[in-house]
Amino acid sequence: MTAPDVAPVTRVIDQAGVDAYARYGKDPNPIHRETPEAYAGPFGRPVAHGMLVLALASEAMAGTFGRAWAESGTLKIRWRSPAFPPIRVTARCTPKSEADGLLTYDVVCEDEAGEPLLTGTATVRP
Amino acid sequence: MSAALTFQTLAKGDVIPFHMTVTPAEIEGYLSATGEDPVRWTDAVPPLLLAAFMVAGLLERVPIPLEVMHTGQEIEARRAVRPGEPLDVRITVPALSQRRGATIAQFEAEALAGDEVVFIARISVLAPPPAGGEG
Repeated sequence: MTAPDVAPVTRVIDQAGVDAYARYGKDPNPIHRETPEAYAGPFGRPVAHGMLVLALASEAMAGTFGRAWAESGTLKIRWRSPAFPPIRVTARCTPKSEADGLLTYDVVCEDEAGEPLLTGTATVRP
Repeated sequence: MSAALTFQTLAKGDVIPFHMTVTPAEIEGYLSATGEDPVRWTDAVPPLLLAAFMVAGLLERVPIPLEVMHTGQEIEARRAVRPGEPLDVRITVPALSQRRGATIAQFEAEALAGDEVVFIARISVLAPPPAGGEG
């Protein structure tokens, strides 16, 4: 099959969303929240969880492939830049190749200026 | 064994085992935080939630210094995981190295249902050199 287009997912990640992710994603690291540790930390202010940014790419793939994403999806990414809330993030998954039923996509999550926050690849076997 | 582990004493070959079950309420909470439509995930656990909770399980057992950065992430779904399905998680340390005073570590986390590997996550982290240390 030809790799179908994947609709991008855009969302504003604000501090309330980061705080919610800290609770429900089970990552309470204070560098993600309005804490003294965040302002004294490596980024000098709170930074969104990388896994929260990456969740948009997973959502985009799930939106196109549904259950097949849960059954066979892979992601391999590296974070490129920190995401400081509030930030408008767009996840784009672009068809790259198809071989023996395995569909491969280039993945990028970028800020409003188009700067990549993470890049990598995703595969799925629908 | 795992109770004594710290990031500083971590060694290649260390194994961190634990049990994990993702409840429907946890899925609902996670999706409320990420903003994804929960309708899609009534009978399967979102793959990235599995990875996030495996990282959380690691952090509960191996205290990681605040300055450690999560630099890379891989996930590999072998089949859908059902809400409430009991999983045995086994995290190993396949790579651990020093470069210019920084520590680079990789963790590989497998989730098993019985003997079946259903999900794999690989996590790369980097700990910068200690302040005042040799760069």
